[in-house]
Amino acid sequence: MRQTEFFLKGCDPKSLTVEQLMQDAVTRCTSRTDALTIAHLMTHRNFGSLPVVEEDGTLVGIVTEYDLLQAMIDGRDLRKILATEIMSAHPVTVTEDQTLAQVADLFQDRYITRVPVVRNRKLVGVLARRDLLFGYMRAAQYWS
Amino acid sequence: MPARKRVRGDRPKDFPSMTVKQVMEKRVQSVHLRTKGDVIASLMIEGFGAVPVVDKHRKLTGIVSEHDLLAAIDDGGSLGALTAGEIMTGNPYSVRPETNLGTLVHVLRASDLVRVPVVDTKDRLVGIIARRDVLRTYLSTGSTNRK
Repeated sequence: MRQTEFFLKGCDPKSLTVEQLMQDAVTRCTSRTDALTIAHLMTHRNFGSLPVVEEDGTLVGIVTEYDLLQAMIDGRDLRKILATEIMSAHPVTVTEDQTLAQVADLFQDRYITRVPVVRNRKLVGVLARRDLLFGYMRAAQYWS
Repeated sequence: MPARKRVRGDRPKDFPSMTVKQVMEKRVQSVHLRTKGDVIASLMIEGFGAVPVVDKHRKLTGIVSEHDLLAAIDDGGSLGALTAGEIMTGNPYSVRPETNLGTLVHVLRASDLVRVPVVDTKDRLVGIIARRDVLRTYLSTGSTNRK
C-alpha cells in the first residue's frame, strides 16, 4: 500500500517523502528465479521491473521488461535463464527520507520509471513514476 | 473510436517475425491539443504511462508521458492551467502496423520507450503498443513448446 492513499487532507506536495509515496510489501525474486516465472509475475501483477534480492533481503539487482524482451527476441528459452544472468546489477536506489522534489529530479534526469527503495542495502519498497504523480495529485487536491 | 476486436488469428511460430498489427491495442485512448494537464494526469493514474495527442483528423502530433507531466510539475506549473499542446513531446516516435516484433523490441530498448503509437501511411493514429503487450503475446503464444 501507499501512505498517500490514506491522505485525508492536503499538504505541500514538494514536502512528501519517499516513505509516504512508495509501495511497501513489494513483489521480489531471487537471483535463482527463472525468467519465465518473472515474465508471468510482471504480466499478471502489471509492473515493468522486478527487484532481485538475496535471502536476507539485500538488493542485488533489477530485471526489467527490456531484459526479458531481449532474451525472447534472441530466441532463448526463458525457463532456462536465471534472474542473475539478465538482471542489471547495482541499480539506482533511493532512501525513505528523500523528498518528492529530489526523486522527481532523479527520475527526470535518468529516465527511470521504477526505483527500489533501500534501508541499509535491504529492499523496503519500490517507487514508480506513477506513485509520484499519484502522491502529487493527492496532496495538491486541497492545497494551494 | 477504433474497433474493439483483438487480432489473435493465425500465430506464426516465429515470434520475432510477428507484426505489430497482431499485438497492438486498437482501442487507444488519445487526447487533443487543448486537453488540460490535470485531465491527462488522472487518465494516467487510472492506467498507463503515455497518451498520444492527435489533431482533428486523428493525425499523430505528439505524446504526453509521465515524464512530461513531472517536468511540468517540476517547473512549478499548475496542471489544470496547462494544455496537452504545451507539455507534450512533439514529433514522437511511432511505428507502422507491419513492423515486426524483432524490430520493435530493438526500437523500444534503444530509445528507452515503454509505449509507442502505431500510425498508418498518412500518420493517422491506429493503435498503440506497449512492452507489456509484447511480453503477454510471447507468453500466450505458448513459449513452453519452444526448443
